[in-house]
Amino acid sequence: MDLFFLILSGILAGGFASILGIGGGILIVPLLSLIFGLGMHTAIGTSLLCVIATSMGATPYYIQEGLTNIRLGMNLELSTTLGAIIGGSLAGILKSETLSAIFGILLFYIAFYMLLKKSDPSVFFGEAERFSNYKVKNIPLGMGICFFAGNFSGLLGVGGGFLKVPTMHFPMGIPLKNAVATGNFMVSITACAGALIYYFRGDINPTVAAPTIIGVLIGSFFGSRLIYQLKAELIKKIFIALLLYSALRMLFLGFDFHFFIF
Amino acid sequence: MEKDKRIYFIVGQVLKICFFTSFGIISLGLILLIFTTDSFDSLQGQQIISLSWLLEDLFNLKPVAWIHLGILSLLFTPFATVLVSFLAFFFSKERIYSLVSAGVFLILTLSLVLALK
Repeated sequence: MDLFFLILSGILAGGFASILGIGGGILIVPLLSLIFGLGMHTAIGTSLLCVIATSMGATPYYIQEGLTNIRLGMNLELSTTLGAIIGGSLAGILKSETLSAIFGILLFYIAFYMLLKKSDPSVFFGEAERFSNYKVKNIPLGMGICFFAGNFSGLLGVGGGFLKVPTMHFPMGIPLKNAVATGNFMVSITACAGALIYYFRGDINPTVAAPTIIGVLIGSFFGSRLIYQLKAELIKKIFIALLLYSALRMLFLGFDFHFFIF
Repeated sequence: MEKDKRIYFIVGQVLKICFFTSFGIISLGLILLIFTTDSFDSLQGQQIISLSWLLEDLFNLKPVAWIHLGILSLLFTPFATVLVSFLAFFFSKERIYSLVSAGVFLILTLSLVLALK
């Protein structure tokens, strides 16, 4: 029975993530932790594997379209992977409750960010430059911010695209579509640096990881094909509600508030 | 532009091959798990593995061993991506980016070394 529900959870997380253009980590961790009762370290390790898988699934398409800037991605990965190693190691010495509380705060941030941000159709329909025909600015600043994105990735099992993409677009001057594609390319390398630490520490359960990964891949496959047929605004509202609910529960779990019944 | 196209094509192809290999191995492990385990309890899985155990159980078609192999191939795909990028930049005589790729590869290796400690 667990197997079926793990695949289903993966499909939901992968579907939502690809429709909304975000990584699945922010949904997978709460799902595994709150519904399946797994420890935060196992949930985070599994989430990192799913993040690698979804990134690997989408990246070849972006690369062959010439949207990914591999040179810039490699440059930024110098600091991002270092951040991920530090985040992954730090998670090993933090308690599960502390990680839950930090994750709850991150979910609140992402929910409010999505609530305030207007939908930008240019991400999917706008013009993009092929094969890096644009000037990249502020590389040292970008590397600094990406270090923290890597840190979040290793510590909390998320892709870190919520920091990487705006950084590449605004201070570094990369067209949004190229920033999304380059961020996608970077995510698997960043997540790998963190996931190795979780895997060899024994924090990844293969029989949980396998159905979740397969579910996420199925979900993101269908999500990316449904994207033009669904009402994105409605899905966004449902997603924000889910994020806020998960954020509250993660915070309560972190601060050990057992008297709240959800 | 032509040089870029070649580099992008190689990296894209390597990623595609690694993705389908990992996906295929994990799916095989999952199918074996469904058909060989009577009472499935997904929350009980062997989390720490040794190489000798892995090789022996792969030959015996043990599902968890195949899932571990799939996870390992997933984990080593970014290594392959970075290594191929390094080689592509190196043979295209782009010294800076071949050095940058080599740096990323070293950091990933550092992560592996720290993880194995």
